[in-house]
Amino acid sequence: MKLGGYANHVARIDLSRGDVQYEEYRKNGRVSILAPVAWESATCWKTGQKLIP
Amino acid sequence: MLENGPEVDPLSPDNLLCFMNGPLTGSPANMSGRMAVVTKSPLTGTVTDSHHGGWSAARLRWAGFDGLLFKGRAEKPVYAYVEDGKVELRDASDLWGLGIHETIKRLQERYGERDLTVIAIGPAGENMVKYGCWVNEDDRASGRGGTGAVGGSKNLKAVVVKAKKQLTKPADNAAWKEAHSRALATIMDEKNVTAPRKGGLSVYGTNVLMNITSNMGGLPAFNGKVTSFGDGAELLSGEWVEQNILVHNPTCHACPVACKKEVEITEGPYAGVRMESLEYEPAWSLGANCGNDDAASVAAMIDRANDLGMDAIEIGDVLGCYMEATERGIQNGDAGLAWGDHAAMFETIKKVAYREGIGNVLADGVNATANYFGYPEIAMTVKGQGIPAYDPRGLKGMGIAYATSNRGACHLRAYTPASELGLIPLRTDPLEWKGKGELTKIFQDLHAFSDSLDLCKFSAFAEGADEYAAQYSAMVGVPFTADDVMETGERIYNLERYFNNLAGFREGSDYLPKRFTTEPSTMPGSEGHVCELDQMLEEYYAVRGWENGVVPQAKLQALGIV
Repeated sequence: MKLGGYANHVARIDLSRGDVQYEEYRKNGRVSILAPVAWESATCWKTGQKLIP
Repeated sequence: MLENGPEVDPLSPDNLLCFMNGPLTGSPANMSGRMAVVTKSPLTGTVTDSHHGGWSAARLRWAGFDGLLFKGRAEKPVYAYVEDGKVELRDASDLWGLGIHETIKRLQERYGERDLTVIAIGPAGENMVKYGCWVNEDDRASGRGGTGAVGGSKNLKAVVVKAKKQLTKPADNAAWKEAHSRALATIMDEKNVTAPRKGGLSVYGTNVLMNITSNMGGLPAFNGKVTSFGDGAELLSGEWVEQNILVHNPTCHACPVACKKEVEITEGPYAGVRMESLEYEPAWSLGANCGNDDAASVAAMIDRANDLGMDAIEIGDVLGCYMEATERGIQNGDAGLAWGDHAAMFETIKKVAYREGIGNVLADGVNATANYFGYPEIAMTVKGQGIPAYDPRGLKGMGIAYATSNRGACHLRAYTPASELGLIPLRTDPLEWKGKGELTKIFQDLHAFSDSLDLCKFSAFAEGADEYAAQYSAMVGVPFTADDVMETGERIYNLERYFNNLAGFREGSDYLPKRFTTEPSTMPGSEGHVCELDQMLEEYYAVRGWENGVVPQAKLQALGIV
């Protein structure tokens, strides 16, 4: 886990299954969180990705 | 949020519940100790984001995360324990049913107080009171929108984060030093309300506004029947608090302003209460809005609302509605609630959290309360959420801001009083409606960006798009300008609106309680004024490029949203 930088790490927790998945947005390019997360909309904008695939 | 469909039932397992940081979180950026709790609201049915201060956001970042996204429903109560890049779900059966304060105390005993943050729900969230909320560190609530009820529906009692301080490093250190110094200079500038120990916000906290808005006829009192609380506002004011019950000036991560005002009640029926959130909004809702000028009782009620885990603004809206219904006449055998009866208010708040008796009605919000008593016209709400502490007959900008807020009635999506009260250089007449549509759009876009960074809203009393752009650019290493800030904010605001459109909020969904548009103010400062909402909506939709509240496809394409 790289700390102290611009990490972009999120954890997806499925409470029904007791399962935790870790994601880094810049690697998989997924966009699934609605604003207000500027790093998401801003970085996607800059990289030309659409907010809603 | 969109992956589940905007029509998802907010209290179903499929609704996402997100605890989010921004790119400046955990860094030395001034006023960056904010965390956003994001979900679809059970109170409004809209998207909602509700932010709290303290150290939770920084510690989540230092633990290795920018966000936690919860979905599903646990079989039994659990809490999430976050440390060193790992998230574990642990049994919370022994915590279920406890208030916020006791929950935090027990988890501190378990993990030690040092470097620990606890964000929890109380009985209100557990019982899915529609304005149950998440509370961080005893007093800092993500109050609005019922995010705590969503936690309760998922059997999620708390998020516990353990992390030692390790400040986020900028991508461009030299640029960061310059951007940070520039932003700090604006906050420290003695002409700004943010100036430490000199500006009004720093000296008196948010409650510095109480007597100001009252004197200008911009403070809704007695459930909005009048626009001023007269002498009562002085007894609730920041000045009164500072002179009589203030004991400490706490602050959040990386904030020199210290707007939190910790108070202690040492005599009377509420003696023993010590808390740090006698803020303007809840002091208004449980004070002026309910005809109550007893500051000690207000402190006690806010503390009780926090401990039970419910929005201290919304409960005051609900009680104010209940009081007006009582005044008009209750036909169903309920005893009712009299204006200013703070002892009865204090007990009623507990009934709401546990859904006991009339509390079960009040727990479903202002609209449900007004409808239950047969007076739907006294529901002072927009999209189901109660109004905050500004009367749009005396502060016209708040009218269009409430009506077009994407999360229901809200002062924080577009804080137009910053201009109307002269807190920023762009000063406008609070009684003039012209131009407020455009002003609201500008604030909405700017705030959408700062909420995303995530910086405290009060940063906007000193900083602007230039300062935000410079800090963002230096931190993440992406060239960014003030125009980019506003464009990103516009995209966020349109995306939220698009979500709401898909969730069923279509043409005609932007409105105000009729009281504001049809009953002229009778108080000095705004006497004779109503809020000219229709005119402002026309202006607002024109600058937004929306069709009666709906984002056209062409706009979505132009912004790169679809």
